[in-house]
Amino acid sequence: MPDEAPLALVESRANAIRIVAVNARAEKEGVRIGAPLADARAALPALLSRPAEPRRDWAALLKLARWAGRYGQARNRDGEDGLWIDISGVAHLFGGEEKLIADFSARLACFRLTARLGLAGTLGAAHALARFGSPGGTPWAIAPEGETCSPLAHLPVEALRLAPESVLLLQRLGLRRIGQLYDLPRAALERRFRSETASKSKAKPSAAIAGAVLARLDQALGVSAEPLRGLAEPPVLAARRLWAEPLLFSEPLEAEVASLAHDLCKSLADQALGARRIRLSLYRTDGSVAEIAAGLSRASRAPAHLIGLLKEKLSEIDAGFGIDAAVLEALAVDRLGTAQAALGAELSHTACDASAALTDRLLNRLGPARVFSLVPHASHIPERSERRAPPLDPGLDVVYEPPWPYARGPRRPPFLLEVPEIITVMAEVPEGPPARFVWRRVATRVVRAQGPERIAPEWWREIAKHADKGDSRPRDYYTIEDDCGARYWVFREGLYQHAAEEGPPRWFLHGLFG
Amino acid sequence: MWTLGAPEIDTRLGPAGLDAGAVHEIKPGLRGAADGASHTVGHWASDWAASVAFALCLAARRLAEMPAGRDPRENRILWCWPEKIARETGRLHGPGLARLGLAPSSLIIVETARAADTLWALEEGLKSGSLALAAGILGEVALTPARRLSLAGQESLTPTLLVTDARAPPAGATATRWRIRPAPSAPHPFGICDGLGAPGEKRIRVTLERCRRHPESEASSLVLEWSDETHRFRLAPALENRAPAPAHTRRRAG
Repeated sequence: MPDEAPLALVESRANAIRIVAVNARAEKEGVRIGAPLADARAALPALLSRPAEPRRDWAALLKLARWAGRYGQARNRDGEDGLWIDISGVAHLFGGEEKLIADFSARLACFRLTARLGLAGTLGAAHALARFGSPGGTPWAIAPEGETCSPLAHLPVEALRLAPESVLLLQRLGLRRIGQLYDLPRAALERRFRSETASKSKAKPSAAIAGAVLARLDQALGVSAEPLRGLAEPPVLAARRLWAEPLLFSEPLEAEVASLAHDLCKSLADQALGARRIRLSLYRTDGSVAEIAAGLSRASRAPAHLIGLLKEKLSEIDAGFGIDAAVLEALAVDRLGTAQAALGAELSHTACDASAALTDRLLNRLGPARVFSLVPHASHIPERSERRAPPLDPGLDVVYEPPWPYARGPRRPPFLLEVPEIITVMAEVPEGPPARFVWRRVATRVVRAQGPERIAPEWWREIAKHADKGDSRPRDYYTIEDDCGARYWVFREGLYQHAAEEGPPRWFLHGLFG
Repeated sequence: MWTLGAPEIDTRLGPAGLDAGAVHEIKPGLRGAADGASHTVGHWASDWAASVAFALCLAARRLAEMPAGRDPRENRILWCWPEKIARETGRLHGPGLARLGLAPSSLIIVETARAADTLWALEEGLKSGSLALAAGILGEVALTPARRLSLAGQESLTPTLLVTDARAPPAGATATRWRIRPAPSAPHPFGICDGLGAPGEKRIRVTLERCRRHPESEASSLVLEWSDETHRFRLAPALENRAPAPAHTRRRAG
């Protein structure tokens, strides 16, 4: 926030407009958070105010957390005003923890954000250091590796992520610094809490408060583990690149993505794995992130295949002011045995591999709804007798292929209309095929006909859903041919003898034989 | 070798049958064009369906005559069409395909939103070299995409079937071009249904409009019949093919 003028964000709360945030200048002038705006204005007439927008703050924090993935894959928002990043195994890429945090701080300053940073072995300690660790000096505080107790010892107990009433209770007990809690016998702490709460008759049971305090302390000191839920699905393997100069053009970007894919495939090969799902995150200099995800129908670690999948969408990425970091992650993997590459051929594709690669390219570009195979389904109703399935994995050795019905016996058309279309039938013979009919405004004379083939509704479905009458009438199917030789599959829905209660039968055209 | 199964038409294609690395175009014949009637949607769909069904039969023939040593899992067919055409003629129906003799599991069906995506999918399929056949159903194919498909197919030895609109100009760079019209079938030998004879095997009138290898057999026209039992074409017997004599002449003779 610019520090030229004192500024406060206000929110209407408890029948007054109250200050919820201030900038450094206003803080220096003595404006306090929580005070009514009118009071603050009386003391400091130059105070500017803007309505607070917690939703947009929340969204901006999420965006920042996404961008922070360049420093570590596991990251998320921490409370309403912070975010955490797990930088395990990343610091050496920046040349050490000090350099990493300096880089982070510099980049945040570029976004004109005032941030306080803490780096420690546990989330609790980092939380405490960031908020209370550097009162006036450097914008960041780092706990040396393996030491968590001493940097925290002088921090106030508020730093432990406690509920306000617990903090109040601790302060009343004279426990103001975290260091004072270290040497206290644990049983004694609870006992002292109990006496204190009993005298004040607080609602919250003392054991719970003491337990919460001790749990937070243990988490901060790394005695007990704290489960972290990251923003995004944690990858199995990842490869990352950082560039000193942001990449602006697609050619160098493609080359870099190709080398990332090679890196990832190498680490996949080391563990005899193949990727099933991959994600490429591109970090722009302006703090936004572009992501490309791709799925593979069959585990693969062929760099050319991965590059091919990413390249499709890479050309659509807007580099903005430049891309200065990229991470390629394998989100889901399968075991994939080692295979010897063919001599002299960089790309040893068997036909199965090529087929899987083709399916992947089609699926990733056109979407799973548009690329499919047909599998039989146990139903006599024609439109229910098949299902769409993802194209079969040609690499699987055993593919169960259920037999298709009607390879013999009654005719089935190769083309089936999605919704049967109503036809107008003239010269109707009861219980017989139509002699003439009109479909899509064309009158057709029937020359040959075969049928009827009665297909009864599935009564068990009707019972289940108490269906309306329309769907529960039997159909009589006819294969008919017109005078030109075009063949149609039509049906009559309903029976003449039930016409009184169900209405007259209706005719539909359901398929074409070609 | 990839043939239709009927020696009468296979001999006209030359000794090697249909070219397995080339583009073959199939066009519906206009039914209303001859008598000057307007061509409406209803006719369009049924004429179109005959051509697309011919492509399905050729695909079944292709699978049946693939070299025996190949892994059956590699014998796949890429079937690409825009969703609009699929809705108009009806979507591919598994039992119906099985009835024709084409295993539905060998098809990878792609229904695209735009015609450009159909061409892209076809080209990707041809370039991958893992297919037995690629089939595309499109309104029209311009010369450049047709040449691209032809080149990609030549390289991977994968044939392409293109079904294009009857009125669109013929696609370039094709090895053969077929014109397909439905033809009245013979009555089924055993079937009778309220006075109307049951239809026999499905018949089509096939015109070979272009044949790059055997230009002398161009414009030959035959009525073929697809057998659901043997899964091959055969020549429809000429005698049965005759139109029934008008009723009044018969009466006079009697």
